[in-house]
Amino acid sequence: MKRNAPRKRTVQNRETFNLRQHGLGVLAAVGYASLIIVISAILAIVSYLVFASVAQGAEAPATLTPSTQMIGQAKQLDGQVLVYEGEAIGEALERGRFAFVNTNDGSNAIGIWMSKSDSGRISTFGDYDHTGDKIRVTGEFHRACAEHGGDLDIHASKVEILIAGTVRTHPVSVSKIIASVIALAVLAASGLLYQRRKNSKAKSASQEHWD
Amino acid sequence: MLLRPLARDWHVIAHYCGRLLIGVGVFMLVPLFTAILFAEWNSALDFLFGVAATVAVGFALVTFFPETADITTAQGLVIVALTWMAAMFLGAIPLYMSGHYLNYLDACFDAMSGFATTGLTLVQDLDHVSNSVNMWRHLTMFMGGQGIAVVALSMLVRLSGGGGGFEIYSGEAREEKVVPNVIRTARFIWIISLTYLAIGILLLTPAFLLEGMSFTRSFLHSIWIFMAAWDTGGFAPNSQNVLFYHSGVVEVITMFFMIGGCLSFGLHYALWHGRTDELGKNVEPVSLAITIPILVLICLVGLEIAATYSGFEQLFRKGVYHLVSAHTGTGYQTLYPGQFSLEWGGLAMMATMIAMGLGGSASSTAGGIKALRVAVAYKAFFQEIKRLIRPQSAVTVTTFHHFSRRFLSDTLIRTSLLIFTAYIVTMFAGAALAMGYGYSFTDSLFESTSAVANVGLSAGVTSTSMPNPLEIVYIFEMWIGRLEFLGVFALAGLLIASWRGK
Repeated sequence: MKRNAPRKRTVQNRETFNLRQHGLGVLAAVGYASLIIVISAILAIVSYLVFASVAQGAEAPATLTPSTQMIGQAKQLDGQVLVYEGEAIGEALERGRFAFVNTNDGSNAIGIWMSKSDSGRISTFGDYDHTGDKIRVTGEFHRACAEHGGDLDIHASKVEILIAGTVRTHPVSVSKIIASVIALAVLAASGLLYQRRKNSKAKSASQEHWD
Repeated sequence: MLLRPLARDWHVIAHYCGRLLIGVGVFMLVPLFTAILFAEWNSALDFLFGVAATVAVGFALVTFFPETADITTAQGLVIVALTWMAAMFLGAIPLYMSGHYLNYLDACFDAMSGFATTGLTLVQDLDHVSNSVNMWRHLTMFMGGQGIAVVALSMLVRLSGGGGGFEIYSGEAREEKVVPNVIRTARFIWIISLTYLAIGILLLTPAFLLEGMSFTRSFLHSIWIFMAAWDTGGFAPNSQNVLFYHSGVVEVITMFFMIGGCLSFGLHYALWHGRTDELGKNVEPVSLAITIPILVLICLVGLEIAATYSGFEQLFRKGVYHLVSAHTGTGYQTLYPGQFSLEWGGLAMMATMIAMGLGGSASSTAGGIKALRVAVAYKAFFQEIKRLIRPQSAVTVTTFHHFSRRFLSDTLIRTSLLIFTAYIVTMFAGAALAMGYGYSFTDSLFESTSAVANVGLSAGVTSTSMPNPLEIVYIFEMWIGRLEFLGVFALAGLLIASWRGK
């Protein structure tokens, strides 16, 4: 009996001890969880604030309208604000405070009516020796512009230079040199043959004359 | 009974073809020098090869077929038909070598379009083409407009040994000599063309300079735009054609030269010598002065019905410019090809097609049925009505003024109606083929008319994606239309006689 009594007490003590320990553990877990939730919430709020401000600075990707669509659906798109990208070609055709810059998107070139300050920012125009600046234009599309004699054009409200133009190189082709030399040789041979026959014909004609 | 031509007949034809090709090759030196001037070394090699190949072929033909003789009319027609075809193949070489054509057939298409002063094009990335290639494209129009034979006759090739100058000259659809001597006629054609070239440069260069273009570009563009306007060709150095300039001034100047180009060289000669009364008397300018305003009016009504343009300025500017461009056979446009079929409406399209079909004057740089034949058909129609009304014993005589008073003979009516019918049949045949490939009737007829009448306005069928057989048919139409059928008929006749003749 004596032996059993302390054992019981021990068990009781143990249970009391465990319960205390358990209670503390739950409290600690709740505490940790709360802390994690609070920290996560703070992080979420901070990251939201940070990313939102960044997102506010960047624009949504622009929907480009290709020239083929502008020509093919001109009536539907007439008067709408469109975004168009292409290579500035030729030169800026000046009209007082404005200029026409023809811009080729690979299928067609469209005339862009823009301020002279905007056209002045375009450094290179496309021709045989140059690839022109790639520009993005946002502006009102006109199927038959009332201001410009019925031309299909865009009146730009915003002009961005996307890629600066470059110099185009045209390395001389070795095969073309060889082909040209061969052709010249053939020409020389045929010319000589022609001259020889002509001379012999003239000679025989004069001989006939003397005979 | 068909008489089989002798081998000697073919040799004579080959000989004169060779002489004319030497002339074409010599003219190719102009773009070669342009390439050297602008340090376009790759293009210089292309043209060096082109010159060498063309002149070598010419020398070879002259050397191996040395026979010269008096040329018959049929031989003259065949020489011209074959030379134009050979000029296309040889003239396409530097174009193809430039790398701006998908294949050699496309380059041939542009070469024939240039020589035939049509203006339909398959060039790629035109906005980056070199100055020398642009010079050659426009020079083909200048040569074709005056006539390849005229080029050779006037300056470069002595067609000695035979009296074939007039036969070859008339083979290029020239009705008559301006002056009795054919060499002097050819020289006058060049004098008048070079005089107008000088005027063109003086008018267009300042117009381009005012737009902000550099002097070099203004000068070059003025030469090219003049050449294609005067020769009623329609090529331009930029992909947007005349729309590139966005300029009413340029449109007015080009209209002046388009109208000038569609008048006959005979009329220019008369005006040159102060005979301004020809403008009011001659049946051709009178016919043009009637048909152009009528068709302009129909076109404007059509555009108004289709509500294509909201304001009068747009309506007038677009309608008049394109109608004049179509009637003179030039093909300059300030619209994108697709806009015709999508926006212009049926009536305006029909007026434009009729204008393209009618064309300019005979013995001018323009193509089409020609004002002289339109006038003959009109006079013949009323002559028949008069015959019906009058007593059977009455003799009905109709005359018209074409540099002199002429009688409306049955032969003239028959010839005019033959050419008239040939044009109509070819237009519809080309249209039928395009329709077979799935293009709409209107677009198909528009494009086929444009090709056979050597105009160059496009409804969008002409593109690198069009089927090769259609491309070949358009080349054939441009060739046959420019030579007014007779040269090609004579060639076909000679080939049949070689096969079936005795």
